[in-house]
Amino acid sequence: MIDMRTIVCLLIVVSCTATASADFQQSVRPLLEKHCIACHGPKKQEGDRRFDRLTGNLSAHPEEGDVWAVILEQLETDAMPPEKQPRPGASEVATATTWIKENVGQAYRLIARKMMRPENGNHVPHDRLFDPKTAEQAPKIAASPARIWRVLPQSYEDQQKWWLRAKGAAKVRGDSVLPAPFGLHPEHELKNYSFLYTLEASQTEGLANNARSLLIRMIDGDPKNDRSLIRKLALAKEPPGDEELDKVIVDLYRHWIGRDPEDDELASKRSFVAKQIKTFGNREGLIYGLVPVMAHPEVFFRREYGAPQASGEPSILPPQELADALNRALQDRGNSNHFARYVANGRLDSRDDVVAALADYEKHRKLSRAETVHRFLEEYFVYPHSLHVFKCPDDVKQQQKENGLLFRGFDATKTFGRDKAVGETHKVIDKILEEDRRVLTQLLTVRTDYMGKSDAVLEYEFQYNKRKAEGNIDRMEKELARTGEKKLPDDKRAKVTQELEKQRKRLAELIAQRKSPDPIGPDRMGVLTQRSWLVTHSTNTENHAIHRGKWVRERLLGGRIPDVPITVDAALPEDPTKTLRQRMQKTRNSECWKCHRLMDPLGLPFEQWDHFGSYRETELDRPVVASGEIIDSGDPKLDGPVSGPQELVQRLANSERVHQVFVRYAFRFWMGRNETLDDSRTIQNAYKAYKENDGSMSSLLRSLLTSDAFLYRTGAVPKEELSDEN
Amino acid sequence: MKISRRESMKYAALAASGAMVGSPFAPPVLQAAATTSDKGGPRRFVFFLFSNGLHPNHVRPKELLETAKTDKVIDVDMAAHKLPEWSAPIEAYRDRMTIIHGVNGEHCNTNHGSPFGCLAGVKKGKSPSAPTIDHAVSQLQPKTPLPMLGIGLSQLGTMQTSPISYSSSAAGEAKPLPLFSDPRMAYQNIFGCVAGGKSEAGFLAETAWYDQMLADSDRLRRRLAGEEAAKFDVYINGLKQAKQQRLDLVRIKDKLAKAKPDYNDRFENPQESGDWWQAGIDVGVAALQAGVTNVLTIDAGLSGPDGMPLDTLGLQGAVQQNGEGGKPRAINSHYLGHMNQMDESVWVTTRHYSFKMLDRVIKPLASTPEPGGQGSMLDNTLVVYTSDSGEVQHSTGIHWPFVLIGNLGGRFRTGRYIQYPTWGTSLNPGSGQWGKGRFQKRPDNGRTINALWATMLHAMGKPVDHFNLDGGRAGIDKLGPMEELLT
Repeated sequence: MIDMRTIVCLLIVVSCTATASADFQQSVRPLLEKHCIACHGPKKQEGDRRFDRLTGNLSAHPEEGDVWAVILEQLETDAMPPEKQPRPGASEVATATTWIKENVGQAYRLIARKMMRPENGNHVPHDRLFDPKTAEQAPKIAASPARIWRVLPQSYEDQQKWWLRAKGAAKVRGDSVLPAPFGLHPEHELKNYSFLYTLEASQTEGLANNARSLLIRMIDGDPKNDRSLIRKLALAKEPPGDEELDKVIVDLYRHWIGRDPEDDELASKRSFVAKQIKTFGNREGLIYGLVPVMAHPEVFFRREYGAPQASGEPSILPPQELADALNRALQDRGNSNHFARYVANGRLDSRDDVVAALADYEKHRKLSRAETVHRFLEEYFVYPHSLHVFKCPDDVKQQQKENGLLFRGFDATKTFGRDKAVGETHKVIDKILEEDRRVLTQLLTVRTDYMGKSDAVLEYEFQYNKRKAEGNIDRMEKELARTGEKKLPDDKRAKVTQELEKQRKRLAELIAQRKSPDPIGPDRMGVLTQRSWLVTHSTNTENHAIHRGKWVRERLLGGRIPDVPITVDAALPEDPTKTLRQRMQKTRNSECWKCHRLMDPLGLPFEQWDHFGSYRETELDRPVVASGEIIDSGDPKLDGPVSGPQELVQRLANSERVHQVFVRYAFRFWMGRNETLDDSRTIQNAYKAYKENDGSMSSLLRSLLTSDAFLYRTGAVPKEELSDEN
Repeated sequence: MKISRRESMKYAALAASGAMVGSPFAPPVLQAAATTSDKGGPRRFVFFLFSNGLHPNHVRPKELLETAKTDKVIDVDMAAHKLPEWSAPIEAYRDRMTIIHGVNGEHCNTNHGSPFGCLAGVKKGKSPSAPTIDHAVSQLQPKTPLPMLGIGLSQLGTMQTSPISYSSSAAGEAKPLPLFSDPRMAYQNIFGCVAGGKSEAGFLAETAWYDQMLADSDRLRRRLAGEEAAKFDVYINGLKQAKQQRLDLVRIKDKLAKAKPDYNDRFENPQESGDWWQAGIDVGVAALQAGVTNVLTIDAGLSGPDGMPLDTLGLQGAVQQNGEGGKPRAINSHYLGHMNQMDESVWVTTRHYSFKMLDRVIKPLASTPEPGGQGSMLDNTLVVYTSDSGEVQHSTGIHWPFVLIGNLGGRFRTGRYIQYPTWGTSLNPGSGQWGKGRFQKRPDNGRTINALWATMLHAMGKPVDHFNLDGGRAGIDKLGPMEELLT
């Protein structure tokens, strides 16, 4: 993170161009000439890059900023020069990178921003992060930066629903809401990083029009509705008094912003609404006047400022902000604002208060089953994306033919049964979270049947269906046994008898099926072998072993894959006579293999399934080869060949490093940012809590939500330092 | 996959335009490209979607019926052919139109309509997953007060209770663009500043919203520093820009006053859905005439089966005597789509109505001289008519027909009938069962809806390889535009 002072300093330095230029000739130019210009100079411009004309003077040549950012990244990650070329010495690199950071502020900012992106979370070295010495050296309070965090689109949409319902507005098209004209990071990464989001002109305009639309809906809603003061005032003949207007405005602030307006805010809003009412009359005046309250920036941006002191020390979030942060950390939808009550009672002022409030919460619901935990696992495994991978309907029909039982009842033109597959994964995950023991191990290794259901889910479904059938049988038997006046008429009797037979047959089938395992394929093992995950990492016609391997490398091993160089044609050769594994031989070329060795051998074991996630033993009439290898994982015990997907997954699930990486991802999800070495203690504590409590997600979450990174903020401007000029 | 990394990266700059626009760090790629398309006058687009399907035979001369099954591209001069009875209202534009058949959009899942799918060439959804073509071409236009304008039409009750709709258009994944369903709101937003009386005061009050929001933002902004402050400045600038947009409208007050539609009783006291259909369309056309925007999207039916103006079609309370299952069936909007579009006379009425609404767009453009240029506004416009539901209500999307009217300043061929080889074969091309085709692999020269949209970008001076055929859709069509459409 770069603070304002750093930026100012950097900018001052950048402006001293004469000095910078002189240093450039001594600090960087020699390295570029010795190691770079042969490939990025007048003769060759690999990757469309040319360095011989760089001046290092961004004031005169601002277009150089991007190039310097690339050079800085390549040097810092030791990605360039190419492996076989002589490498610059450590001090040479240090001199050059220091010069770039100090003199090319733009490059430094660019790369700092790049490292803030979710895909670069693994940039921080894993071993150092988990080194106890790093934790010792971390700041006394490892706070997060003060920030504003845009709300989730689903939260905004749900807030509309609750407002309309609470005020008794008419239901329109099944409680339809106005979609948020903003979304989340579209890539397959953790999506809700605070720094990624703001709002633009067309979006703010859409939100203002949405607010107007909601007000119209409220006023023109159900005529019997008398719960809405806005509606009452809009239809009244006399203009509303100040007291009534204040009530409306305070009510809107509480619902949409989660706080009361300050006195000056209330006065300003009241005066604006009153002015509109005077011009347009009650109805239109209220609509024109209240839109700015419902489209207030704090409806869309939540504050996390802390209570900054002039000393610059980190400060704990004030109760209001803390309650809001806790609500958002545990739920995406709904309007219960569970933690607001602690603010009112003055019981949300310290870490201990948060511990107590979470304990209260857990009396009703396990933390591991909070709404956000499901979203975290969806984003971590990316499995719901399987719904969006286009599959040729002809291939689907073939699948249906071969796996009749599997695809039975699904419409080939829709999602090809994949919604079912996603649903099964949801259920399996839910069961694991309910149990809340060895969570990641279970996620990676839980045995599921061919359809993707775990034993726990199968048992749950069996019991549910059995209970249902027994209940029906019981009810119908009682109906048939009625005598006297209540006796069923003959025609109905015949119908019930017929239905009773059906239910008995169904119950018998249920019990019989429970004993006979599904014959279509062998058991699956964990989320990575579920249809939803496999389809997610496939193209429309084949598996995507590279993406699967990349997922394992990043999400389980905490590794990083460099960006594909622009010069590389990343297509595999097309040859219908060869398997994917054979065609992927192309990546074994030395220049490709440097990166592909980190992905391909981790993804190829999943060739055991086709691109629909169906088990196969042959491919192109040859036996499927599902072997692979773990290379350079960072944990020597992990490295080595694997015979197939089960061995791969089992070995990963047994690795401490894999569990630590999972904790890193959880940190990022709940803090909305990448970790730094300063967060080392928070992450080590979170891992400890997770490990010591038998892999409990609740413990992990409890540790994160009571950590410095969650509770403390630094960097906001203290109120007393605000001046009119600010 | 046939796209090289370099090609796909070139394209990614366009396709992902909406994807990270919300990020303060995303480069405004399409805006930057706009300079290449600023030559040669405006290039206006009108997208007109009419729900519940467009039966191919409604826009196919009868004598060309046998061409429905073809394994090569058929490119016929329309001069020798007369349009069938369903298309009578647009017969007059035969020499200024191109009819396209056999476009594939199966991946949009057109059955019952394809919200956010049709104009993007991607799977439909409640939330968009990619930018739509109207947004993409709007980003290549010279600066106008509004980049594009959307009008969403449905049944009167729906439009009254949901004055803003989101159904057809998007700036990117999860970025739906609003459509005005209430024509009063559309009129107020665009022509309010020249409407006089309360409308003018209303326009000023709306502009004042942004002052209020800017003041509220300032309270938040003052406490922020560094990167967070920079991020929030993007939002503040957005508010300023939205306000500026309104001031830009004030700047072209003269043009607005000249072009503003007649604000009649139809707006304030609609008696039937058609009153607001006409009012909404009139606002849209007037916005084009006033130079408020160069891109207009009219989503008639809100990309679903339930938005047909039954009252105006005279079908309120109507019954089909020998309906589905051999029983009398009440005709509601959805059921109208179930009815055989070839056999039922109500479908002649319905199609005629949609074309009359289309003519309400075309006629004023044809009769308005191009400001500061030669010919009429229609000469520099491309009107695209289709159904978001593909070829029928229960469609597969493999026989998707399109009607293009106008040539966008001579860039599109006109007077042509073009049939592409279809991905599937219909059991009976003469029947109403177009949706029952069988999906096959892409035939040589078969093209997708994405290629059609890519062709529009080519005509705008942006020669992309494809439009939204990335990720899971990569490779389902060949690269490049539909050459047959361009001059």
